[in-house]
Amino acid sequence: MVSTAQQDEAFAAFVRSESDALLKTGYLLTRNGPDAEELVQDTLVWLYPRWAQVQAAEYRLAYVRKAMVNRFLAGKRRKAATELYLEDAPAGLADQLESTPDRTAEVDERDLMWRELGVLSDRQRAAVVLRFFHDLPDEEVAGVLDCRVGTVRSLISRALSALRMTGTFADDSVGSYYLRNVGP
Amino acid sequence: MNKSLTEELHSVLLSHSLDAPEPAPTIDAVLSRTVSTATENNTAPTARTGALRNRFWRPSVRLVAVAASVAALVLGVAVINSGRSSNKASTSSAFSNSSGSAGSASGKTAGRSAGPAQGPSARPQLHPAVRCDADGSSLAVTGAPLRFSTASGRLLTVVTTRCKSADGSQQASEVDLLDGVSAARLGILVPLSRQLHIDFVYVTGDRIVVRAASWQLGPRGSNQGAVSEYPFEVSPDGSAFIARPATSYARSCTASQLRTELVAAPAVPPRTPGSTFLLRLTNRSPQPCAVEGYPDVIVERDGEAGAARQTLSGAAGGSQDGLAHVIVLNPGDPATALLEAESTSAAPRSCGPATGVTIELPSVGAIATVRGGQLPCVLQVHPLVPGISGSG
Repeated sequence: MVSTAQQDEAFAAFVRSESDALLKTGYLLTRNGPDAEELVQDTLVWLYPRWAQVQAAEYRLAYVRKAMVNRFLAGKRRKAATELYLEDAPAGLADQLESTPDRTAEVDERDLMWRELGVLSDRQRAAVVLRFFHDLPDEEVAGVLDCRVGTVRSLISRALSALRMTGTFADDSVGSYYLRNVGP
Repeated sequence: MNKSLTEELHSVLLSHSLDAPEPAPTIDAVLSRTVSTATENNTAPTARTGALRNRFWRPSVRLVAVAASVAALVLGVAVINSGRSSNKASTSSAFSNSSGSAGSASGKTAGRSAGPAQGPSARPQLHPAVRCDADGSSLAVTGAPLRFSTASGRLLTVVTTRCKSADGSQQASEVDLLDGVSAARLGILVPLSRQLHIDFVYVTGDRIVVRAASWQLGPRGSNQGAVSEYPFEVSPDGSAFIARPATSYARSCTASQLRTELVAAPAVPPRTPGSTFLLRLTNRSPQPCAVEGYPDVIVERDGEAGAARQTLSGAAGGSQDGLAHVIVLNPGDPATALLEAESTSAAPRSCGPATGVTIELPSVGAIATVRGGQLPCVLQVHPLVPGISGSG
């Protein structure tokens, strides 16, 4: 039997060691710092009274990440009406780009891709982050998103179709695999 | 060769994940709402943490909290009543108005502010010193306050605090909105966590506009970004403000936008001829672009490469206010960095001629390579400043 003190200690240790990783995921999902902080805080505070369940999980970080993604998708993070944050990506940059083919072009593509990621639906973005940032296989992404593997592939293929418009890319087997499987 | 789409996507996600907030505030916030509340419960919650705690506490604990709140309320009413009986009504009314208005506006950033909670009887939170980082390696430089009045005549003050490292490089900035009379902080327009480098702040009509640079780590370790304007609309009575969408003003200069010149500075005493050089960058494109900080000057000599030391200023000039500023170069505008010999008291070292000089900018990469030339053996370089003199 785990005592409350031990559980608190385990919770605190987890918070200290994994907050950075969770914030990175949260930032990629929400695309701004204050929302990422709120999402992570909200998730961890929500899980605190349920920490025994988390401890029983095989991979605690994966469990917490799933809870966080679900809270993000369910929109349970109630943004404080009074909270301020700045716009993340300055608008209109693309209009000002020069066509000079120097190294800046590479950065421009990255800016465009980051902005295009913001245009994706929350579920598409969550699938993309889990698949291409965390390198999770489709089956695990499906587990996190509580959907079928086919749905995950469809989400990713649609997302990649949109992201492909942001630049010129070499072919690769992973991208081609998803892009071939665009759903109706 | 182009990267594949999925490689590029992975790379973009990885680089942007580095923009995530620092974990320390989140760790503190979570632990203060969970573990420490279970054991200590002696810290006044902020409005937001209180709301969160209420949402997640078990009913039995909530009942205790409600009972405690009722008791505190009864006690508070008793204290207020006793205070009213001994004070003039006008004084009491003024205090309550003042704290009320500050409280409502400061609630806008309650979740972000690290200050104490603002309960109904709390005093207005005065502008706290901005803490640039925990280990004290950054210094805070507070600029001159910008004062203005709202449509209803309320006096407000905007204060910009720039954090900088020892060499004057900007690290992050905070812009606070204060009550112009009481100096109570009404809200944080730009928090440190945004990692913005402020160019300047101005007021137009009912808007406060912050022009700031946002840099991020780009390919091969260079910083890429843009200068944008972040407008905040202030309500007529000054009690609320709202962030409006940012608009880009200038993106970081590219190598092709800049004309680079390295010229010997005029030998004006006490300068020794050949001891001072001007590195001048001119925007030759039809669009504005931005630079910031120090150029990297790498001198190859005797088969070895050495970088010029980056210092704020020296005998020949440099940054006069101790900061490496964001510089927006409009078409045709120059910015200049001074290179000068290190001021050493020892006899001048002898060294062979420079076989090559590479000049790089963090936001641009390599911008120029100079072949040959007699350069001082020990060089220092100062930050870019607007204009052609290298000082300002």
